[in-house]
Amino acid sequence: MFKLEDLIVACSTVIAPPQQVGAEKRKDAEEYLLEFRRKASIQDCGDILRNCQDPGVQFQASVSLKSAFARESVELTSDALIQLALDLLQLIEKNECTAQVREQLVMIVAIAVKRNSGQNNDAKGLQIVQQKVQEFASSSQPHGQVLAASLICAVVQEYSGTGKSSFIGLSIEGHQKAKKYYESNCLEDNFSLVMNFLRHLIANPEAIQNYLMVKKFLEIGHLILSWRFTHGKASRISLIREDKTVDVMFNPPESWKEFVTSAEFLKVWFSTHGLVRRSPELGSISSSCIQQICSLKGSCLHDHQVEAEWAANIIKLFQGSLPNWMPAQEHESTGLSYAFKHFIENRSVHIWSMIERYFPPVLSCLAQWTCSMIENAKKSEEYQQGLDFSTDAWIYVMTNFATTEALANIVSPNSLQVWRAWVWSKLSPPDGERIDHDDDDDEIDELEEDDAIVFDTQLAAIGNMARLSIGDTMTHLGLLLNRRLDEITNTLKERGTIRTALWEDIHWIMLSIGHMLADETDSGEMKYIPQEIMSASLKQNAAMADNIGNSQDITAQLIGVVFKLMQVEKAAMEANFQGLWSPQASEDLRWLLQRIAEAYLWFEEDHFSTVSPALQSVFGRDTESAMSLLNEIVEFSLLTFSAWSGEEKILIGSAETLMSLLKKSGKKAKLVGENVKLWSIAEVFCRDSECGYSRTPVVFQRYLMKVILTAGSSGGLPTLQKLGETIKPLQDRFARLATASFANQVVRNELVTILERLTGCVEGVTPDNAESVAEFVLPFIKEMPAIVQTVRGSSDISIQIFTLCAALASKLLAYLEEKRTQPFLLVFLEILRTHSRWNQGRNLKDMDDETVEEFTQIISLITKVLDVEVYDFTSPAKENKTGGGENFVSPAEVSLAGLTIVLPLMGTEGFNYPSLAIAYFDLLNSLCELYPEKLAKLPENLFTSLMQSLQLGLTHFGTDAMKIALESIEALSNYFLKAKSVGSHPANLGASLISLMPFVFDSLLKYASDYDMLPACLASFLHLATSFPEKFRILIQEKSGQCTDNQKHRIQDAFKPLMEIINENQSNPRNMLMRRHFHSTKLLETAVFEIRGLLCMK
Amino acid sequence: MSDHEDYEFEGTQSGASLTYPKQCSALRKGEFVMIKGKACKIVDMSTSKTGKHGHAKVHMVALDIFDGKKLEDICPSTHNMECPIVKRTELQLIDMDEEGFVTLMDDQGETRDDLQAIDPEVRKEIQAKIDAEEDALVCVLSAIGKEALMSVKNMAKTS
Repeated sequence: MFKLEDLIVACSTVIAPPQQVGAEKRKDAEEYLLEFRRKASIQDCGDILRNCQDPGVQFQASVSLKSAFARESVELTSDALIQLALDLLQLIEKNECTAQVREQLVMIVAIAVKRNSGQNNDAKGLQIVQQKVQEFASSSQPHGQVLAASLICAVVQEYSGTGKSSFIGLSIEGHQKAKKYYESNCLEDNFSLVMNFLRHLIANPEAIQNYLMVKKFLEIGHLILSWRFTHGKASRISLIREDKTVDVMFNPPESWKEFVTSAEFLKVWFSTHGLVRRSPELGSISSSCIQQICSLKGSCLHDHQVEAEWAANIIKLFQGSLPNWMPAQEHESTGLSYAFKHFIENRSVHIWSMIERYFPPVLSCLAQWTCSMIENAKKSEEYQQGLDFSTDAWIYVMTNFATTEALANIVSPNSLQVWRAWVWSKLSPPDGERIDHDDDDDEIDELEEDDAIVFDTQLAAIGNMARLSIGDTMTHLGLLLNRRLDEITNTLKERGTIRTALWEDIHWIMLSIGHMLADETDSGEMKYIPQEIMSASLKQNAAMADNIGNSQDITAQLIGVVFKLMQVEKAAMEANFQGLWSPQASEDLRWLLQRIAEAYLWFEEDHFSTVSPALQSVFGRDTESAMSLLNEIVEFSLLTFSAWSGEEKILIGSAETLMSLLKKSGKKAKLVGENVKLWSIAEVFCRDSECGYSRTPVVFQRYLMKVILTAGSSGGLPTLQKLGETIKPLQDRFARLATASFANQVVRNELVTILERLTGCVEGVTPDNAESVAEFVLPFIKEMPAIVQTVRGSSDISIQIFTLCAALASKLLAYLEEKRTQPFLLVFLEILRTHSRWNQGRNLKDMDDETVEEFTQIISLITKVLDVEVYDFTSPAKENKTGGGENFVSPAEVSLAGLTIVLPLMGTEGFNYPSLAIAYFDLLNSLCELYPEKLAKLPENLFTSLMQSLQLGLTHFGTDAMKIALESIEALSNYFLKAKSVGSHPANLGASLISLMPFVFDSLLKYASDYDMLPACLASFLHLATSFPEKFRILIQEKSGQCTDNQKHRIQDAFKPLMEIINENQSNPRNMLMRRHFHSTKLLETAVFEIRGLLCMK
Repeated sequence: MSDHEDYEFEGTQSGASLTYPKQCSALRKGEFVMIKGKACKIVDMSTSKTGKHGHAKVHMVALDIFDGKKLEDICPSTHNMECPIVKRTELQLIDMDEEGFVTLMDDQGETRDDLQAIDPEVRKEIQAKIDAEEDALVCVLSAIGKEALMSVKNMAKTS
């Protein structure tokens, strides 16, 4: 069918320069080549490869051979597959093709032998390839070595992967089987070849000149060291569930023990790295190999004695090599840091106790390496990453090994060395070596993350290290901060400008102090004084003091310096010197004060077996000293609200400090709740829309309202009364709007402000104040439908109203009894209806951000309302489920009605916004899963729209939306079968599901090799096929319409077993889906893999 | 609720200021602001600072409400910006002539025909509503002594 001469012409035409070949001719040639790729058979390609020496033609033939293989491989017998591999090997051996063609051919060889072992359980092909590899490797020809390397590389790659080559038509199980066979029978041999090569390289270092070969063998080594070994039975589920994001540790079977734990094996890899480490490419791979070797775990190391010896050998190798490996190269920094991390994290305390004398050397090596990373961290991302990994190793050491004083004494000199190097790298001269560049004054975007987040792990480790050597580090940090504080005070006195370098120093000093004084905890978790600090204080045995200023305790002294800084900033705020102050330093200070307030002031004494009298006297429960410090923090935070009105992060930081105290309940909360200044701020804030606090960012204003509400709920009746009086003006302001014209922007602004305040209130709801908040908010909320009507559903106001409603649904309703939620739910429905009346027929072609936000809030409201149904926090005793009743609505009904209101408004245009589309599909999925019966009973036009949106989800918006849509279809099919089993036939649902069937089938074909998508595709289609067996049969017929008769048969045959089992279970399909789910899924999956090459071309 | 009477919020009478000041930090997306003497609606806002220890600055991208042109401004967060006092009215659409001048009717039944639909998209939409004989509302914004026709939407269907 294809003539060699034509192919030669086409190949030369496509690569000919433009002046020689016209566009038309070139297009024809390209068409011809495409046609060749589409239709050429394995036989055609093989003939061309054998008979033509033209590199271009050979390349086309080799690529087309791969496509042909995908089409024909199912029909190839075991012998034919082996013959194909042999033919190709012969071609390669002749050395008549280019490197590119060779790589293509070895890949096909690997695929062919894998297919044979996976499909036919026949390992003959693989054995032949293995023999060839040995033959090539032992040949004296340099070409032989290259072929051996290429072949091993292709085979290792092919067998290690489980998804990449699925287009050759192997089911997941087939892949697993083939992999397991190769792993048990050939992998170790191939690894030995790599080792032999490396031994040869070490003996003949000049062989490094053969760069590409060294690289290839190192790459193969790395592939094998990172191999995911199949332990136990290789199952389909284990593969699908496998977390690909987790690092693969080197975990070979026990039979590899002698080989991989020997001192010689380790020495070869360390020596190789020593040889190649200066080359960026080779050094990077070899360091990654050492990383994998150090991660060794599992059955090879079951014997503790073996593990101890192995670990000692590694430490000796590090000890011997590191002096020569300094300074660390950029490209090896990640690999070797990871090696330390893996090595340390995978060893148990027991092993360390067996090789106790090697513990100090390994720490010393780690310290030396970490310091080198710190020194270079600024230079590149790689070093920075290297530092992160070595820091992880330190965290592990400190958490697991520095648990006794004796062990901590071994760790601390090394950790102190690292701590000093880190502080040195962060401070400016003379206390460090940080150099500030001119570009440090570049514009910094709000999206850039703060140092506290970027360096969180490092900071946590550095804080921990500081606590291991408190005597040195605390005093040092106190001195550093004090010295800078003096400079600030003097400069401010002269009204001079404070150096940026000084602020930067203070920034890092505060971060270091904060992480030293308390560990970072998840939000909501209590912070405590770390045990090391309590013990150090006890040991120091300083005298008791009545205030922080005269305490001799070093912790109290350090905290004293922080308070001094606070006082200086307070004075600066009072003098209106914010312009001279660094907002970043202010933010850091608030963060630090919050930690101190939470962990130290009125600390939980019961948490400690022995409490240091010195700390107790200045920070302890009920002490005047601590109370005055807490008061200072509260006053300082409140002053911030007016002084830093333009800096959102500082304002939020201060508000968070207050919230953290309020959350503690008891005395700390009372102290805030009874603060006179807080209530005077609250009063102005609620009464006056023009007050200074209204100049602050909106996010903060909402937070402030939350603080006010929480403060009001903190102290029982007196503060509740205070709260009532304070927020009452909001009602008056709202009432005044009743007669105002919403055409006026000032009126609209006033309404938005009130809605914002209410949203803030609702965000501060707790189970204790829910009833009172509901009572306060309800009169406002009842007016909202009228407001939506008055503003004719315009976006600016609607967004605020929906935001408030969504907050009510998510924060308040779950705490209310069912009958108390009724008025809210009815109002939500009314708001949605009114809004929809004014927005029908709206032009959404060019949706602006405001419209997107509007719809996001509407969907958020509907979703949150549905959640109310699921999460009900009312106590069963209190519950008074009314149910029924004429006007009774359930959250699910509101949600469903909401969805039917919003869907026509959104139209298809609304789905063009990914976040909106995902939010919609999530909501729809919840409804499909929870209330399919309600969905099915919707009026026809609405139901059709919903189902059409599912179809859009399958075809238009990427895999996230598709996955959710598939899950929804599965849920609906499941319901359909259930309804059918009890004699009901939801006809509209049936017809819609049938119309979705081809789309689900296409998704299944398209995503069969994507293990994230595959389970959802399979489950969804299986449910559809079971629900509509006849349609399933017709669909398969239609899909194979374009194929040849032979291919049609193949497709029919592939689905036959599944069709049979579905037909057998016609009487009780749900039973089949439940009891034979696994079996039927496997049948469908196998069928899809079989025919995928025919219906879906790459 | 009524939208006929003004009470206490009157701010656009003759002699009254056409703008009011607002601190930059408190502005938000969707609000109106004066940039280079034009009344604009903010479509995007972000904050930045010069160097790690610099003070917050607000970067605004806004569209002139009358001609749709994009304008940008950057301003320290504590500075005041002038904001136009915008009046938004919605009038019933009656007709449109060939030049795009529309006839509108307010809630009291008063008609006016001095406003022109300049934006071709809006004009097209208005024409479509007229052709389909749909009851539609036209949104008119007025600020800093100018008035413009902004958008058109269907009137609420009574249910």
